Amino acid sequence: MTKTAGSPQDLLPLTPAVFHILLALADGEKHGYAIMQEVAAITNGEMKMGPGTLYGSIKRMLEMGLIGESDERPDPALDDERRRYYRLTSFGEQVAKAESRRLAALLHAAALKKLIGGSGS
Amino acid sequence: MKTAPQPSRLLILSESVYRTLLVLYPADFRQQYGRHMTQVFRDVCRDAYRQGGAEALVYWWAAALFDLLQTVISERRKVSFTMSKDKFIQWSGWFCIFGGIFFAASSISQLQSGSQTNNLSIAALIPGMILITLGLLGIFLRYNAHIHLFGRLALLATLIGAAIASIGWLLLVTVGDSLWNVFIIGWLLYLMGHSVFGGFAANTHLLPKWNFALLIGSGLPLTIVVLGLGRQETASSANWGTFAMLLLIGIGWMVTGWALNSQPAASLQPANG
Repeated sequence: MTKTAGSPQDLLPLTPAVFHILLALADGEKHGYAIMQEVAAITNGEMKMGPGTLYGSIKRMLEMGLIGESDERPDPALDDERRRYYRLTSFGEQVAKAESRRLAALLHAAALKKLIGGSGS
Repeated sequence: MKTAPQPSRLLILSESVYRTLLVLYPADFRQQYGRHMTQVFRDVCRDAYRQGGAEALVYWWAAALFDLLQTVISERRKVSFTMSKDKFIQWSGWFCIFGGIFFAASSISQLQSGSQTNNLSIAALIPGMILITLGLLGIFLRYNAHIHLFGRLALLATLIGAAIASIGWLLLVTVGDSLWNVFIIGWLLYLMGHSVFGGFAANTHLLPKWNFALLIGSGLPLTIVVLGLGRQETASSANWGTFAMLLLIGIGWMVTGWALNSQPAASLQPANG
């Protein structure tokens, strides 16, 4: 059952796993293994999700209305087994944008305090 | 000449074991996502083996097992399943059985040659130790009224030993072989605590039946023999000794779990005398 929160801000801050999955799905629908590969790629291999973490997060995200299920079909790049694809919902996109803005504001604050980047003001 | 196992057989075996372990998840979660989780597990196994051989497969297995244990607990919590004391006690037999299976699986890797033997053995050993620690906690809760200070201290030593051995394993994987001793110290403490607790259980007839199983599961005498052989650098003998020790511990725990399961939690009457 989907239970969408009132506004994207209600769900912030997101857990790292949920935000990474949203990021992975931002440029199109993907199946579970493709999500895992995308998450590993965008974090330079630092975040490696196990199947339990991946599908536990997917289950919660479906319930919150952040993602939706697409049809099942094979991935020609892998094998001929049918795989379930997931896509971002418009609410999921709003939440991803809100979390990105929140993190960007934090990064800006960190830069102002010369914690990152070398430019302080 | 001894030949290495075929890659495809290793992958098929890995997938079957993982699929079996999914039984630990709540039925609803397993029905919804079990097939997809197995699919993803197999995809990663295949790529890991292709890129790094058996060693990469062992690392993936270790990561997948920790992920499984972690998420099994959280998923069970989420389905408004409060792991009450009674439920935990009811599960303790299964913790022991699955822990024993991991130990037995760990023993088999000792019969294979190659540098990854120890890694494979330890990868199976750690979840085994965690499950057995949970089983011991279940035994403690089940028979609390009959465990006096002596038994409790032995149980505490077992738990601390398991924690040190687990940390030692992580250091072994991340830092290197120089920290092997940390694992050994934890392992010995675990086995000593276990031996004492096993002796206590046998003496007081703690379990509903087969009280000898806890003592067999400790495997301490064989461990000393194995360490002695290892010191004398008789690698072949040490492997056979380790195989026997781990197998014995595994069987001991499976029998203990079976004995615990033979007594329904609802009708729990602390056995004595």
